[in-house]
Amino acid sequence: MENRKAFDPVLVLTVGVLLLAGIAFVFSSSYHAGEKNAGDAFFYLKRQLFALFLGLLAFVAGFRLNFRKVLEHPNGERALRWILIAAYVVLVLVYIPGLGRVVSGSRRWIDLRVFQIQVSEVAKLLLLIYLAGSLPRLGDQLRDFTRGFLRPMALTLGVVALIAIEPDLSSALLTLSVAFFLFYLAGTPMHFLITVGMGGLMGVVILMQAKPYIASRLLFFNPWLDPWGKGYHLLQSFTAFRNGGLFGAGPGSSVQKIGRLPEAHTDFVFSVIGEELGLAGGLFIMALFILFTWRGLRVALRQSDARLLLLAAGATAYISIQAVLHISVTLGLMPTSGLPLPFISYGRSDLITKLFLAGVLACLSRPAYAGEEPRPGAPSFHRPDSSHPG
Amino acid sequence: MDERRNHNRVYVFLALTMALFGAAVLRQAWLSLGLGRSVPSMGTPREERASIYDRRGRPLALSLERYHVYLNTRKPVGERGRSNLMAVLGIGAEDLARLQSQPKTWLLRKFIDRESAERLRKVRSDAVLVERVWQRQYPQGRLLAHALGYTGFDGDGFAGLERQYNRTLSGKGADGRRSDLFLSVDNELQYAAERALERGVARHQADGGCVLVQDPRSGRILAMAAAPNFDPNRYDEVEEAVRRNPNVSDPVEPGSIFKAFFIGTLLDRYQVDLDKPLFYSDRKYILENGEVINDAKAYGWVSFRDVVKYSINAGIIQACRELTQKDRYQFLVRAGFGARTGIDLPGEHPGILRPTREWGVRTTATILIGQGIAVTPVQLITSFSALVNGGVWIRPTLVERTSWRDDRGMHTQETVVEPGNRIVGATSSARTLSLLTWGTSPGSSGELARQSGYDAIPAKTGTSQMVNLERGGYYSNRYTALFIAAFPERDPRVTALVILFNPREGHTGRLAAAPIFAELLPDMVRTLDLPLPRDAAELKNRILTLARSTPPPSPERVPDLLGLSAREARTALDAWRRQLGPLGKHVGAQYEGIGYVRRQQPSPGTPSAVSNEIRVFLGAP
Repeated sequence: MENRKAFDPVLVLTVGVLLLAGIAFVFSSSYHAGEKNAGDAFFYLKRQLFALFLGLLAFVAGFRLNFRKVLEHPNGERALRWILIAAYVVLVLVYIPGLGRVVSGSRRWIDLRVFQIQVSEVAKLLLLIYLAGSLPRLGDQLRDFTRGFLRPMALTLGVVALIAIEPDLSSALLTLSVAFFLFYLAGTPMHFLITVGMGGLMGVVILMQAKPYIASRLLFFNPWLDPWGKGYHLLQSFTAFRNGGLFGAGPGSSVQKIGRLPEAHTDFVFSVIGEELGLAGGLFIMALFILFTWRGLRVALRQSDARLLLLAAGATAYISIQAVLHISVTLGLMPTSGLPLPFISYGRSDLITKLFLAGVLACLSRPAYAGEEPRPGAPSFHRPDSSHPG
Repeated sequence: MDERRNHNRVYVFLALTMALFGAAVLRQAWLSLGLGRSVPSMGTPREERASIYDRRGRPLALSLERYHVYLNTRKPVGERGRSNLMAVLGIGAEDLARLQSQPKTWLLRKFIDRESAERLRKVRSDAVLVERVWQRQYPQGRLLAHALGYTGFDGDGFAGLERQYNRTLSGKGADGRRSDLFLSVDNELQYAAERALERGVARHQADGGCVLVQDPRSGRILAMAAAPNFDPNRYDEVEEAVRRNPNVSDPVEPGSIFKAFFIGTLLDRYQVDLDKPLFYSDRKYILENGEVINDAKAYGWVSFRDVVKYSINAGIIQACRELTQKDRYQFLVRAGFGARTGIDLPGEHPGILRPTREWGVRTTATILIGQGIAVTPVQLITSFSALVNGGVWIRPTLVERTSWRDDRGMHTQETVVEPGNRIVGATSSARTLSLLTWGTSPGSSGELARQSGYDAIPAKTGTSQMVNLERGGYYSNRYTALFIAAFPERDPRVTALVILFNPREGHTGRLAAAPIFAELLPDMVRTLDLPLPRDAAELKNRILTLARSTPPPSPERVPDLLGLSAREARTALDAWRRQLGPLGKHVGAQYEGIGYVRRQQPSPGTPSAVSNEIRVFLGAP
């Protein structure tokens, strides 16, 4: 007999293996940088382990949080509005002098003395909950461009824009992708999304006129055009994979991480994996992410409540899109930008929010949660929703 | 909304993600199997590094754009590629064939210039790889090596200024600016200091030594020499011990130099009659606990002035008998001993100043003559500068300003140093200075400094036994010889410290260290344009009158410098170079010796185009 309270062991195990690989590769890829920047080879590892501890607490929090109750609360609608406002507020916090921190030209962090928080991580999480909670309520209104679709889309684009001007373009792109997926999943007609996408593209073109460095970054697909300048980092990443070959140079033996790969412990950790564990190691990590995506979407499909479906699918998409973006960047399939590899790269805010989402997924994977009949009034896919006309 | 369509949309997403991962898998396989174009992987740093210059903008450290060439013999080179390689790199056909017999990637040449690299790259081939690197070069070789330091394999500073200012030079700091450093050091003076030190080390068969020259008014270091020396371009060829900078890292016992400081504080506190007989010196001084402090000889009745002149141990102990242990300790702390100066160099030692509870009767007395305390050379000269500059301690610095370029042009930032503690009053400082000139009077302990041709030099000698670090206590036969001086006697513009470690021949500060200073002083006067003493000024007037009667120089002919002082010769040469216009920048000048111009090469009146270097030989007029 199935234990109705048991979570999906495959999902949680996958995350566990990714975390273990993360500890190993944060150390392997950061000891040189740690020694150089802080005089302590364990500098980044220690910080990451502390974040892992907090992340596990976040996992438990995500697991224990009863989303169904939250969503069904009579004040649920108002709560969702506050969640969205909170997303805007944290993004504006970085502009408060003394609180916001500028690191190499980007305003991404707020400094709470003991801890720096990357605000876009928090904002993304809040936006995800907001969209999952509010889009299904709109139901078929989403098919009406002006009256249903435009408002939530405009609010979403506002968050994306605030992230983009930090500037953190890759994070903005990731947020936009996840949001589009949620809109798509909630039943928005494809051509609405394409319209917005085209508009966004035009916006980017205009932005490129104003800030040429963005253009040079986005249009740069062929590193050989400037091997000693803009293409250098990517070519160093290629060398890492080449050095790795089929089975890798062995754990800890990457030479590219020493001074040649920029941010080896964050934006290029997959290159270090490719060099130390080879194609086999890369495939293993990608297989884990594919497994995670499958199990996560499976959890989503089992939800009878559309909002929980969106929440689970959004959480899964968030992690798997980020993973595939990171990997594509290191392989030169995408223009160079900085995104950590979920669960593996050094990045404390990222690790904590991702573990929270994993906790949410684990919670939703329990049969007791997914299979239960939805209460009256909850939007559902099983039967026509009486609360929404038409 | 129906369930199936919704589920279908999840599957669409799943399929899309799988496709992206699939592309990534193919791409990684492509790269890992080495199917793409190869990328050079060996190499030194890619990042350019800013330069270091002396106070007049003469280069001390530069980054040059260079290229490494690799040959991957697993790939075909082609006939054109082969001939190109042989032509550009000068490799013989046989050698090339031998390399090609082994399948691997060879590092063919390191640090070739840009032009050659471009020629190599003209023939596109997967077999020949050219990688751009930045090579750190120290064009002056050994000059200022200990202070400059060097960079390691990945281009980061490992030692010295290269390490201290790594972020500034590499642009990895918080502001992201890559700034050049302009030091307060003067290359010419530095060269003179190193040469004088090396000669001194050889003459006295010492283990090594160091020379520091400081501007007491600003704390800026004008020269910092250490022997033995090394070439930072090839720093790995010498032992760690040679690369260590004794000026900041090696504490020594200051010996009798310390008397100068206590003379300062005595003048500060008490009415001292300089010429009144102070006590009777009979070579031995017996402390309260019966221990004996020795002097070189019995001087009989001595005054305070004699104590300075002959450096009498018993004299300073007697004169300071009213200073309590606490007075002595607090003065030393205020004067900066026992704490790092904060000079902009890594690896600074704080020196050793033990708390008073560890002082016995002996240490309480011997601290006055610089025993039972260890100070670094940079501490010693900085505190001495404070003693003679009017009494204010100023943190020593090497970097005078940093300079960087951005869209809006060049920017310069001066190093600003706030004055520190006042260690003696301004009047006491001036009186100490004039009293210290007795330290180089005829028959005094520092009289050999007069070999420089100058008199009236406020100075103090010191000799201390070296501490045996292995067994504790002192070596009975190893000494440190020290000499410290200020110049000129009023409002000094330089202070200089000379130290020899373990000189075997003539082991005292008097015999070993003072002559090195004497050799260096004319160079300080020349390179820093110090005001000349009275009689030399008269001589200068005479020569100037002579010079005025000669016809004006013309840019086509090398000017006549004979009989001019070094300073005048340089002014004349600079004026002539300006007349030459852009060509003038390429004409160098080299000065040898001290004093006045006795000979010049090429000789006066030679057409300017003949040589782009003028050598000037100086000597007694």
